[in-house]
Order: sequence, then structure tokens, then C-alpha cells
Amino acid sequence: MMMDPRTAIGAAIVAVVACAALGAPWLAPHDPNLPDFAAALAPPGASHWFGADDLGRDTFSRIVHGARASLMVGFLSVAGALVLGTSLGLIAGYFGGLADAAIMRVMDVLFAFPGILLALGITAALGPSLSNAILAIAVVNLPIFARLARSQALVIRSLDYVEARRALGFGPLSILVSTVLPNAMGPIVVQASLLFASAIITESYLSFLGLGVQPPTPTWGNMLRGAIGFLDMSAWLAWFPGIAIFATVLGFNLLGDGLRDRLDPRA
Amino acid sequence: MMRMVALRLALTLPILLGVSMVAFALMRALPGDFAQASAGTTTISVEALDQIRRNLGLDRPIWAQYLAWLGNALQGDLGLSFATRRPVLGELVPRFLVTAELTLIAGLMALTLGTCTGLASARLRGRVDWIVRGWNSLLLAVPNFVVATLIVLLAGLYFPTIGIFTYVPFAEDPVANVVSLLLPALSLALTVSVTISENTRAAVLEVSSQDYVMVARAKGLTASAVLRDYLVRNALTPVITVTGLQMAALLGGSILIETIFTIPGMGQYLFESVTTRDYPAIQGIVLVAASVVLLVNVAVDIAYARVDARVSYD
Repeated sequence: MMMDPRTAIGAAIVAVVACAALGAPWLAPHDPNLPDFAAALAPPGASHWFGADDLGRDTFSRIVHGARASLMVGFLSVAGALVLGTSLGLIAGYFGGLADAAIMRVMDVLFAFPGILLALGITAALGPSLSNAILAIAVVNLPIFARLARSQALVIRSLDYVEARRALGFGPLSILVSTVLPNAMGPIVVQASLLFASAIITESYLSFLGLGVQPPTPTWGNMLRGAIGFLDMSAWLAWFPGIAIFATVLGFNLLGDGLRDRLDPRA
Repeated sequence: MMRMVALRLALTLPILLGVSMVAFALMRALPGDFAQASAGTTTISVEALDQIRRNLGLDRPIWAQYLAWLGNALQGDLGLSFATRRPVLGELVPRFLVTAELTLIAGLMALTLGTCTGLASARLRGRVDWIVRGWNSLLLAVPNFVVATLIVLLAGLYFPTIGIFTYVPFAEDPVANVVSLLLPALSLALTVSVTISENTRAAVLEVSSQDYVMVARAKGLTASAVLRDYLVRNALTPVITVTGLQMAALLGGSILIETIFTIPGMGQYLFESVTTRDYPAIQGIVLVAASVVLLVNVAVDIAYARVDARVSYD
């Protein structure tokens, strides 16, 4: 099994970011939230590799810790949307009729909102926090999984092997879980890896607006926000979180494209 | 034709209704009490709070509140802003027009850039294809607010004399107005151009392999005639649809772009309203934006059916 180079690059970036997130307390040379006014706006150098912000907090340490928020929000929001959306979509597609109509109309409504607007509305209403950001992004992604799973179930339910299970006397729930679900998973997994990237963008968007994880906990989005006032003299404050978001999203997109080429027969 | 428009609108109506329910529910999902929120942060007596509740109709059942709110919204009454105590609609309309102009310029930019790169990628193949697709996957990884920050940063470093932060109202000077929107529009357009470019590429490749294109070539038409009369014409129809569907991305993206470039549009209004917890304004913006996106999608569908005789909704 040779990995194509783009997938390998993607996997490598994702691995680095994951290591940073998991090992943040050991990798970070400074406390990410500890102000040190002597080092305020220090440019990148030996003691502060990526420089320091206006409060003298070490940018490198904050970037490494920021990976935690990004990955946690990305993972939990996509996983939540995947589990719930796939279940709803499979039920809608397999049973059809009233269940289908009821579920999919709700999904249509959620889908009608520009995603970021809906996420923003939800976090604004529920209050800014890590868990509400996860919830908001999960809700935005819900209809995507539901539609995909439904279209998969519609095809699979009329295939011979499902017919055979039915003839053998298996109940609908057992057929859904043990036959339809495994056969529907390929495109859903691909979609999940691509949505991971967009979830990370949305998270940085929300924390840029002050609606995500609350300061002083570092996220790449709120670091960028903080950098806006210092662009003319301390541009590195914007460069590093910008690059972190860019590289992570690129990594997940490359990985997702690679997965698609391998798992999705339609691509 | 009229039948199709009516049918398409009828299909959208329940979704619009659902959108209004979500917008309503968002405001009622507030932690704490809506009356308390509307009174602001000042301490307030229990009697005064009850009075506000009665005035806002909060003592009525939730469905009655929703119907009253919907009835008002349909008549253009989106409530009073908590921040300014003025009607939300009056604040929203002029800002909406600014955002509409920004998204229009950004849409045109994305369409131009996307179709050109997609066409080049599909026609020239080889190295050009490789560069375009690489460029696209890089662009896809940069959130538009990072692009905007970089543009502000670079413009500040190299062209400090350009007043990129100064938005000029259209009524004051139409030309300067459009110029002041160019950089913000570019930051919005780049990400969207990727979708258009990839779709153009796929469409041109598909059309290129059709028999009628081969016939056109076989009968000796020049390459440019084939490109103009066969490839572009047939490949661009789905591309136009895709562009229309990117409306949602452009509107969503405008929130941060307008904030970064201080453009007084709907996006910046949303940002301000979120900062000041001005819930009626947030609700109004969410409702208006989602409705606009839905209606644009309907319009795109209809335009598509007009252009492509094979599409029908009967």
C-alpha cells in the first residue's frame, strides 16, 4: 500500500499538530498564560522562539496550547454531527415515509442558514464557551451527514444483500446497524475528514469574534484577534497563528482528499 | 414557466417558516431572562421587570409569542434594537445594501478568477493544471479573515499611503466607493473562487469528451471557435449555478471581512450586535440573511431551468 505524496504530507501535518496538542504541557517552554511585561512584544528570538504578545506571553507556547482547542472542537463537533446526523439520515433513507419527511425538513431548515451565521447565532444565544462552540459547529454539520447517510441508505436498502437479510427474518434495526451502516460508512468517513478542516476554520472564526473558547485560554482565532492592533509593528503575532490555522486545515484537506481517492468509488 | 416559479416558491415557504422558528428560538434560548436582557445590565425592581415582561408579551404562551413575532416580522417590524432603541429594520436596510454591493463585487471577482483558472487548468493540462490545483488547495486552507489580515498587513507595510481602511459611501463618490471595496472583496472572493475553479475544470473536461465537441473539431472548426461556441457555452451553465450557491459563503464571510476593514455593512452590524448582546438585531440579521440566501437559490434554480431546457420541475 503506497501512500500518494499529498496524503503523506497531510498525514504528517496532522500528526505534528496532534502531537503538539497532546504534548502541549511538555513542549511549551513557557506558561502560555503567564504575563511577563519585561518581554512584552518581544520579537522572535532565543528566549521566545515566536516572539511574545503585548502582555509578554510566549507566542510559541500559546500556539502549541492553541492546537488543543482547535483539535478538540474539530474532533468533538464532527464526531457529534457524524453520530447523530448519520443515525437520522439512515433512519430517514431506510424507512422513508413520515420519518423521512419529518427528519429531512428539519435538516433543510438547518441547511438554509449560511453555516457561520448559524454557528454565530447559536453561540451568541447560548453564551460563548468551548462546549457551546462544539455544539454550534455540530449543528451546522448535522444536515450534511444526514443528507449523505440518507442518500446512501436509499441505494443500499434495495440491494440484494439487504433483501436477503430481510428474508432471513432480521429486524429493521439489526439490518440498519449491521448491514446498511457498514456499507454506507465510506463516503461518510471521507466527508468527516473534510469537515474536520472546515470545523477548525469555523472554530477559529468564532474565537476570532470572541464567541469561542474564552481568553486567556489561547486559541489560534483569539490570538489573531489580539494581533490585529499590533500589525504595524509586531506582525509576527498575526503570522504564527495564521500559519498554524493554514497548515492544520491544509493537512486535514490533503488527508481527506487522499481518503476520498481510496474509499469513495464515485470520486 | 409561471407554474414552475410558483412551485419552487411553494417548496421554499415551509423552509422559510422553519428558518423563522429557528431565529425566534435562538433569542428565547438565552440563558437567564429575556426581559432582564432587554432591560440591560442595570439592577431593576421586580415590578419593573414584570412590566417589561407584559410589554414584550412574555407572559403569553410560547406559540402565541412566536405568531405575534412572525406577524410583526412579516410587516417589516423586527423589533427595537436593545442598543439604540430604534427599529432594527431601519438600521438593517442601509447596511444590507452595503453588504449586497460587497458580495456582488466579490462574486464577480470569484467568478472571473475561478472560471479563468478552471478553464486554463482543463484546457492546458500538464503543468498549468498542476499549478492551478495546488494553488486551489492552498487557498482552501486559508480562512478569509486570515487573507484579510495578511492584506491589511502587507498593504500597511508596502503601501502605507493607501487608505484601505476608509470606506467611502456610494452616495458620496461612487468610484471611490467601489475602489474602497476592492481589497475586502478580494479577501472574500479567493476562497469562493476555488469552488468555481474546480467546478469549471470538471465541467470543461466533461464537455470536452462529448461527441458534439469531437464532431465540431472533426469538421475543421478552429480551436478558438470550438472553445467559444461549444465548450464555454455548455460548461458554464452549471458553473453559474455553483456561483449562485456560493452566496451563503460570501454572506457568512462578510461578517469578519467587514469587521476587519471597518465597512458599515450587515456583517459588521452583526459583529457589533453580538458584542453588545443586542438580541433583536442578531435575530433580524439571521432571519434576513437566511431568507436572502434561500431566495437567491430559488432565483438560481429558475435561471438554470430557463437556460437549460433539459431541466424541469414538473
